[in-house]
Amino acid sequence: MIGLLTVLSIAISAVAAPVFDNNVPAEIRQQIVTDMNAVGSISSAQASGLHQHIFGPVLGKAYLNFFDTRIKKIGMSSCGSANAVACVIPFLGSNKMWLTQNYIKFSHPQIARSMVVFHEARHSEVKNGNWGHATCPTPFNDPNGNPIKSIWTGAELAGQPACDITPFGSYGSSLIMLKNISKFCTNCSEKVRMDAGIYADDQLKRVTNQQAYSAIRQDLYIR
Amino acid sequence: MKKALILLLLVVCGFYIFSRSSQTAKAVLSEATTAALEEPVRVPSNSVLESKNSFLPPQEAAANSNVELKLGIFEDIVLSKNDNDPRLDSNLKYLNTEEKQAFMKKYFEQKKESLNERGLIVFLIGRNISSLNDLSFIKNVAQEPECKSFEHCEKTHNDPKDEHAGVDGITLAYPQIVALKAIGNYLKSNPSAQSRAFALEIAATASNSKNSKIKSIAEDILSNSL
Ligand SMILES: [Zn+2]
Repeated sequence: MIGLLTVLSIAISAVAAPVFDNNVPAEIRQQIVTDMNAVGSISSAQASGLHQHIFGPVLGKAYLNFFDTRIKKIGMSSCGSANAVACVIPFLGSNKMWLTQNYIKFSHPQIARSMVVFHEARHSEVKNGNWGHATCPTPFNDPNGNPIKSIWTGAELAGQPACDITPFGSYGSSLIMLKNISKFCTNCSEKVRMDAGIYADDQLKRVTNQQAYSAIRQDLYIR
Repeated sequence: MKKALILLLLVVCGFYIFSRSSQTAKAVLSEATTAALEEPVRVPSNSVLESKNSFLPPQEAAANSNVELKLGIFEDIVLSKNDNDPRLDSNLKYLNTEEKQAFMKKYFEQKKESLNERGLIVFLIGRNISSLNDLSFIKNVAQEPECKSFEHCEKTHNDPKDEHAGVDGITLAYPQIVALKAIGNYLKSNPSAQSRAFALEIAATASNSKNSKIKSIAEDILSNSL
């Protein structure tokens, strides 16, 4: 009962925060509350156009509102992957986010956990087909012409559903969020801003449609 | 006269401290790089330490050591896993030589799988590189063998279903990436430092890494610095 009543309690979100399942361990609840509080405290006077379109201003309240309007419950799952930290499984309910033990077990920087959580929150949007991933092109190379491969299997990602062809998908939107935090957050720690830039820049490779890629470059990378 | 004597004393002390710290660091440098490092370094004219061989910024030179307090704050942050803790940019903003030594020791006490903790230490030292010893530490981190999986750095972990493999790849190389970011910032803010050759050498070595993420960041640093 206590577990059912425990919510991801952040005062400044206007929407009701998600409710935890009973079996979500206290340490994991505590960690996601800490992480969401960090995101929820962000302030800034600027935002890129794409960010404004997806999230609104670069502001903690806007991020919490984005999350809380999409995710209503938080449960535990393996997410079908040994390395996952979080997932949304549409056929089990699009408004539920599942966390894995890895959320606290693996040593990710905080902003990396947030990037995954916001990527997954984007997958909760039924009206947008859950922003399913796009198939990576063949060949799928980095800017130096080397094939992009899975770090786990070594297999090329060409032909795999691990890309976006729009700035608004899960990969695109979460990188736009992080790049904005990196560039514009006025009260984030230097480490958070650095980390946000590192993860965003890397994820930009997953946006493979030339028009979408150029839109993000124009929005955030070219002064 | 009295002021001049005090100034002279400070200069001598500063030179002595720097000479001692650079002796250790030089042992790991190549001969050519070491020769380049022996040229004078430009320091702010209002520096407390006006030695031509010192590159300690005034904040660091003036700070008293507070090793226990700073390590305690670090432990707090590690426990909370809150990278947005404001003490990172206040209490831990500047580490002096003694504090950096303590944090370097702490780095090697962390498990290899403690990627964020290790990266945080590299970040704290790397944002104020002020000696050859700092650069040598950064170099050693940048050249560490890659961590293959979160549970055991030595073991690979086959996981074809991971849609966040990109995020995972960055985290697995996080200490090395932070080391390279520190090198990039150092090169940007010290365009004429005599230790530039050493910093460029670190980036050049990383640009040959088998890890595509490390390689790509190192290549960016080199193309922005040459
Ligand atoms: Zn996804």
